[in-house]
Amino acid sequence: MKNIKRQSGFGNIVRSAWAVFAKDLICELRARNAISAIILFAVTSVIAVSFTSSVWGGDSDISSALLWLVIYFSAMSGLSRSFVHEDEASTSGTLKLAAQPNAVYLGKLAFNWAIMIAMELVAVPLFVLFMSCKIADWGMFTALLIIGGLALAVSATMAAAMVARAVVKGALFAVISFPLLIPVLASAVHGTSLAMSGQNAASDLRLLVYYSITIITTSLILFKFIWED
Amino acid sequence: MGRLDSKTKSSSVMPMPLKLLWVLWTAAVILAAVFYLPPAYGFAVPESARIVIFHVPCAMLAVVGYIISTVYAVCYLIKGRPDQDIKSFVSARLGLLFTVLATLSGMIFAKIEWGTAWNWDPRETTILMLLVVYGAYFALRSAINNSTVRAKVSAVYNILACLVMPYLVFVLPRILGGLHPTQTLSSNSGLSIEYRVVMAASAIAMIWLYIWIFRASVNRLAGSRKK
Amino acid sequence: MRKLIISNLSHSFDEREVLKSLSFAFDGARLAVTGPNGSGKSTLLKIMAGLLLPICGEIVFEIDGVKIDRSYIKSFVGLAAPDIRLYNELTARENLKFLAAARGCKCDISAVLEEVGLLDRENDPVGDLSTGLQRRACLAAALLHDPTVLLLDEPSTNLDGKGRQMLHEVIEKRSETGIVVLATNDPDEAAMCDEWLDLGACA
Repeated sequence: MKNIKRQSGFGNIVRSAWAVFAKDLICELRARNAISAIILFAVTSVIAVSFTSSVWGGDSDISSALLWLVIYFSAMSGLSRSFVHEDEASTSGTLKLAAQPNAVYLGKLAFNWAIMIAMELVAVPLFVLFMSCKIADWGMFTALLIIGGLALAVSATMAAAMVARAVVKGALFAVISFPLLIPVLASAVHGTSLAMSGQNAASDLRLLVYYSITIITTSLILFKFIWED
Repeated sequence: MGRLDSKTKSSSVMPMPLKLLWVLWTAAVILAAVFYLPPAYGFAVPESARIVIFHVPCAMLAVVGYIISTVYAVCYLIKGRPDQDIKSFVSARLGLLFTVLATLSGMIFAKIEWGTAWNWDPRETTILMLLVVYGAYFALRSAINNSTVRAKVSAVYNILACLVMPYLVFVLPRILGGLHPTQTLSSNSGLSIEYRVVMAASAIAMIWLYIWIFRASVNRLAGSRKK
Repeated sequence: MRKLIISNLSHSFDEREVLKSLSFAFDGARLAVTGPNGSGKSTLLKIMAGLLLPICGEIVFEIDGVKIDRSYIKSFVGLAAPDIRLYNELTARENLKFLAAARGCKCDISAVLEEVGLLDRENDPVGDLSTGLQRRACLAAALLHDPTVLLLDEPSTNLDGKGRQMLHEVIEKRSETGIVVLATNDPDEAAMCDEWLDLGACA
């Protein structure tokens, strides 16, 4: 019998996940299902936030909380698209036949992380400019945004896969993601505030890394139950 | 035949003498809490401390309910038996019920002690988040039509929520610090031996009630499923 | 020696029972699954492909005395069905390239595109193709990894005369070495097969 083990093995899963990621990226660049909505939402909310509350731009606690609220709501406005669109276009069957569940999960996770970073690239500089924030530790600030974006994407990817199976999708997505996002938001806001005022935020960054690893591991075990029929 | 079956079932949920005993037991606990227990000094309004007899067991049972619910969710994903999904659902619902009771009794206590029913104390924040998290569980369940998919997806959600629960219950309130009298309660000066005995009796009454509702709901849901 | 054994297979969507303890043994190359709409043809094919898990019972494929392991079933089965579609944003070739990469197999994409007669339209986005050409692209996706078992759900819908000719050639060619299962109500196609499984008669 030919190629019995061609789909199993860690290397193959990563290659297959890469294919899913590249496919999502190309489709996204051509159709712009998620990215333009998310970025526009982010820009709009940055403007809304800064013209109502730019007085507090100097306060690191308030501005880091506002920054993460903008990122959180922007993520909620579009991260579910990656899964919901597969169902709407009847392509999920194709994907289920061709790729292992874990490859699908990892590919979608990478794609959502990429979207988060693209959105942050636009929204965060605008936020810093409009709110005239003072950022003491740029390195830690950037690291928190990248890893915080990963932690958000990790939780949102699972929630999106669940919501894709439900009848009402839009409103449910934010509600379903919420439990997984409480620790992320708490640490990200706390850490970003410390990084802005120049204190050491390494413990919050570590917590975000550990949290992401925990949720990814759990998701790799659980994902097949929500993805397969 | 069908009638006979349902009759035998309803008696197996909890025998009549046990039901009567529960009523007497609960009445005794309430009387003991109101008349036997001395006011607990160390609180601003010592009389109000009696509510702790109900508040603490409720909060504990809420957590226990969620944990049992998650255990059944894991069992469902491994074995795939529909009754495990029903038990997981019923247990989560009981967890939510006791969370609401704990919240309400806590709010009454807070109103008397600190003057406001809600003041964003870290414990209150936590319990509000628990309500949202498990409220979302029921929203998710009602939004999925296919029963197998519903069982699988809600089991996964349940496990993920349980993963975060220790963070909410144990880590977050301690990080934030606040008014909740955990210190007063754990030190002997605040909580006498009488309090401990009555609280244990109250906890037994609530576990009893939990088992009663749990078995009745499981029977009812399993019956409606078969039809 | 190619065998397909269905034993005591049942499936239902909530209360609606679609397949009821179906048992069937097949020894040959081409099987036609017939039956009225809603009799469970598509469901049966999806269970065969491993897309749906049956509530009870099992399906076993046996090639030259070797059973195909259910956990690797997706590498041995190719399924073309109306509700399994390709990505509209990608061209036919890109779609196949993605599927080959996701499966992790080296496949001859040009040969498959030529087989279904899509080589001259390979660089058009699938969303821009006509329905018939889209069906051909889906067939190409099912043939891509050279499956041992080919499952075709109403394959001739929307195909023109040339397309049907192509389809018949594909079925001929694949049934030389593997199993082809056709879900169809077209008498001509059913006549091509060695045996029939009538789901309407079972129910």
